[in-house]
Amino acid sequence: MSGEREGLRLTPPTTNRSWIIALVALVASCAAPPKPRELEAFERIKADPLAEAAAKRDPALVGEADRLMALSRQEWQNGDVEQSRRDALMGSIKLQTALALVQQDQARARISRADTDYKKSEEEYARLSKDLQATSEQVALLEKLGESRSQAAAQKQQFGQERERAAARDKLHSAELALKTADTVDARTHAQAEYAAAADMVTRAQAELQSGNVQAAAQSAELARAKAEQAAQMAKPHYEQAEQTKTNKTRDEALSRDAAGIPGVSVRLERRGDVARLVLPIRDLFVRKQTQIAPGRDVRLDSVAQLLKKYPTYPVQIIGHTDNRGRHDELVAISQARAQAVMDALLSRGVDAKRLLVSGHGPDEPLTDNRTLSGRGQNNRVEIVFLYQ
Amino acid sequence: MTHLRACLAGMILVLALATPAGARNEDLKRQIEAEQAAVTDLERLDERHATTAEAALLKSWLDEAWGYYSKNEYDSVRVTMDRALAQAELIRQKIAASKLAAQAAEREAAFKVSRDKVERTQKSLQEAAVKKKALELNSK
Repeated sequence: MSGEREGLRLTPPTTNRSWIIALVALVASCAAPPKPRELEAFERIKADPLAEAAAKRDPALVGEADRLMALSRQEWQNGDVEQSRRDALMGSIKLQTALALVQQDQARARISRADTDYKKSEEEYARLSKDLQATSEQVALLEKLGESRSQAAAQKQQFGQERERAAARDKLHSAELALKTADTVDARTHAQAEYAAAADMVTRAQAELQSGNVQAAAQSAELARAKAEQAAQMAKPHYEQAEQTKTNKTRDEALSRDAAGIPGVSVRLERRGDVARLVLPIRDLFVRKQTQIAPGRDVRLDSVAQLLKKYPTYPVQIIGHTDNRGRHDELVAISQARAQAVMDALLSRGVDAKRLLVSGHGPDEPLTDNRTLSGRGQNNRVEIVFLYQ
Repeated sequence: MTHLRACLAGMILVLALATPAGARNEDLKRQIEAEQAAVTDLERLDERHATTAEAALLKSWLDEAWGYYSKNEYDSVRVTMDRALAQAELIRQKIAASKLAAQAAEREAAFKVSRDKVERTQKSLQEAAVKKKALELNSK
């Protein structure tokens, strides 16, 4: 059928449908009132996930709630809204009560679980605490051990350093002592270079020890000691010689003084090359041409013998001299015999023979002119000659 | 005398018929009052205020019951009181549930604290074990 019939105006299909729907809704609304709020709320509570659990928890209560829900719906359908509301309310209360019971059960279960978990956790905590305490104690002990070892190592190191320092000090003292020993033989004079080197090394070692350079100080002290010993060794013979010379000189001077103190003897000091001669001419021991000491005249040999015994280290010559009156060979023999006589007299007075050397020189060494009596008297003599250098 | 007996009998009959209903009405009154006192107690018990709305509703229903009572609409009073009693029971159960939930939360919090302690102690123990091992190696 076309939509262009004369006189007939057709409406579009969508508009018709809308009218039909609206009409049906109107009829339906007139048939039942709107659902009560209480019933809607009840249905929402019924949709709670715990509703099933509530039915198991308290079947009577939930069963009653279900019955009231069905009743409420029926009453609503029948238009008894007021009763529907009351029954929905009551059913809702009963269902909520059952749900509260489920919540209580759940809370109790939570409490039980939490208590169990708490107990286990506390037991675990106690065990861990115990382990932690034990481990902490072990750690503390190990730390203490480590600390003790460190202290011991530090003390050992310190002790080692102290020992090194003490050893260096000992070496320095040895070097200083060696230097002092070198001083006793005047090494400063007799071994200048070695002595100066040793003194410098001692000073250096002292400075190094002061600054804490212990090893260097020990080495320097060792070198200083060696140098000082070398200096002492080098200086000793020179020093001893010098001392000997000094001693000899002192002794020689004493000999000269003592010899000069002998009455009737005029001491003479002369030098022949390197040898010094202290000459004691003894006169008037003999009468002319005799070779035996005249009686009573040997008394003056007492002092000579004492002098010889006082100074036993000097070698001594006993030399006879004469004037020149007579044959040379006779005069030499006489002088020799006279010297021997004097020696015998000295030996009888306790003088050691080993140091005495006897000789006769005859007229060969006059002191003065033989032409005068006094001159000849002077030349007739026996000389006691002390030899030294 | 007969008249007196008759009157007396009549009075007794009336009283006999009237007393159960009157007593029941008095019971209703006492019930309303008791529930009103109970609401106060329940509110005091509800430390966590979990049932404030329910208690307000209960109070309103009790007021409603009083209203019906004052109009001698005793059936309505009974219906309302049934609902009120159920509501009171609901409130009790919800208070118990909230208390238990609070206890559960407390226990769970305590458990959490305990777990935290355990974790901290485990960590400390691990650290101490590492330290101990290092010290033992150093001491060798």
